[in-house]
Amino acid sequence: MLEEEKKHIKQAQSGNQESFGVIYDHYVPQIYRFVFFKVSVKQVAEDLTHEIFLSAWQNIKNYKQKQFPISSWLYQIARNKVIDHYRTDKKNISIDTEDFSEETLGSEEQGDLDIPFAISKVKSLIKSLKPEYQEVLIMRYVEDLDHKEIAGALNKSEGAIRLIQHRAINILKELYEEHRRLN
Amino acid sequence: MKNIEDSIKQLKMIGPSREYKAKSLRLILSSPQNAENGFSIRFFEILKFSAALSLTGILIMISVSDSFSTFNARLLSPVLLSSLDEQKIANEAGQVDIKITIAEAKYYNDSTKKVAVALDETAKNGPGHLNSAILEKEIGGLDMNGGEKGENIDELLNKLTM
Repeated sequence: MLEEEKKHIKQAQSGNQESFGVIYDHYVPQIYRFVFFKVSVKQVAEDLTHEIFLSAWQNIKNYKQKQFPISSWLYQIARNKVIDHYRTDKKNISIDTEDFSEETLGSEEQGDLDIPFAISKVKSLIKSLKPEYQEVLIMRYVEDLDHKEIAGALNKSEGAIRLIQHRAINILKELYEEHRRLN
Repeated sequence: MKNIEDSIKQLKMIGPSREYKAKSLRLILSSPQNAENGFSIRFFEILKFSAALSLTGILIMISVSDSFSTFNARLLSPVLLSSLDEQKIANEAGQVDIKITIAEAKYYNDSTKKVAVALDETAKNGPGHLNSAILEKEIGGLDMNGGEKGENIDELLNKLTM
């Protein structure tokens, strides 16, 4: 994908809609998930994801491939959009009101009735971590990004990302054990 | 749940619906792209570069002027030249020692000769200066009244006291 992706980026920078469509199709699920973990409401996640890709389309001419991968660039836009969202709309959404309907789970969902519940449990545990830890865990384990891409998205060194990942996993394990003992 | 990493990976199931994706992409592509912000980016790059260059220039000037003034002070200031140059001070100290040693050697050389002559004369003629006859003769030769010079001296003393 890498060489092909570079070609698509170049063409999208020249205004080619089809090439941007390829980039969109490839990255929209992970950006949507990232936003959804942050805002917890399907409608808000959809609106913000739309804004992120609109901003990407409008400003792709200013993206420089030499600096960092496009995934990192998209995550940077996503983070800024989420921050702006919380600045303008300071609603505090409780985990209980989170939207885990089958519609939210998307088209890949296999119809296992226990899955939404399991997802809800894992997500609530992740939600209790520091925002930085949440981001690293989601990017690493959910989106399979490498440390370099995560470092580019979060403006940190690769070493710092490894350290955050290690700490986040340890804390999450502790929380999971505690949760299991209580239930 | 097998382990925590696998549990997190389950979250991959969350995703946008096909309808949403299609609608959103259609709306995005219907909006125009912004023009490349080349001028402002280039302007800021040039500004950054020139700021870095001028800062470097200032630092070089400061360091050069500092070392130059130190050099000048060493070269031109006699105080610093004599008082701070350890090499010169050491050389001067060495020269003084040499001069002192030469003067002492000369003095000892001269005095040794004089002492040798005096001892030689004393050995031949005996201690003439202790001879009472010679002493009396010398006392007799003294003009205790002063003579003409003595009178002049008296006049001068009178003028001073008056």
